[in-house]
Amino acid sequence: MTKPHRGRIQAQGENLEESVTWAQDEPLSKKDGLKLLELLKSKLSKKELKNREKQFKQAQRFIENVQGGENAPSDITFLNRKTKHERVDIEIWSGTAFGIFLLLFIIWYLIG
Amino acid sequence: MGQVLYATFLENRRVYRLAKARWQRLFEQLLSAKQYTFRPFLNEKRMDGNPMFTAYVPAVDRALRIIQVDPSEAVAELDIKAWLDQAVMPEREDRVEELVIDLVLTNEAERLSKQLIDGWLIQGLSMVEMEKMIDELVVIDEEVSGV
Repeated sequence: MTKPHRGRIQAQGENLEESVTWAQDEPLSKKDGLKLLELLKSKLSKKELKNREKQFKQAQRFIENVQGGENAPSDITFLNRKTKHERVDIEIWSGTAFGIFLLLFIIWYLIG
Repeated sequence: MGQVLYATFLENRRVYRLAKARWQRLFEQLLSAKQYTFRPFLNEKRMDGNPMFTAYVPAVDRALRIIQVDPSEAVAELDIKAWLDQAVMPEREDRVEELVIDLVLTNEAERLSKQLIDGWLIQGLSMVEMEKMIDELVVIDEEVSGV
């Protein structure tokens, strides 16, 4: 059965298409999103990483700064503007990602 | 660089809405010739220009995404990039071919965008033809590309 919260973080360009995906029952947390971003970086060569150094930082900042979670469908592109289309894409296919869901759950639990 | 249109769109919500409305109008004008309908297909609630405007056109089963960039990020006099991608549609399993245009908005960048959108949605160019059009219109300075 298809999981309700799905998406992909992708490094793309002329000669590259590398990605990490998620598919789960609960929304993807910021912490897990950042972990996936690091996992994607680990799959790239030094040169591929260098061409996207700033874009990975922008993607990290995006995940860290999302307010209340980002809802699907969403596709955010961080392009190396000095290149044709070397980039990092964050795609949220369904559900929600990058919220502080655990914290909210704990607060809800404590209040309840 | 030519005069940047809506240069403060990231600082001023009113300016942002005006910039978005300009894309909407431009798109409606382009599509009116064929009487195509369209609808946004991505979450556009964030007011960061990424994306500024999205449209799915059922008549040709193609999509368009415009990313409008902060003028301070410009790397060239005329700063516009474009590429073909595949968009995820929430209500269907397969993907839709998508033209993505990423630009600092000037009159010249807008003019090139119109040509690209026309080729993609009105003329219905093939992927190969569209790649060729992008290569011809969107020139990358090899010295700064470093790739």
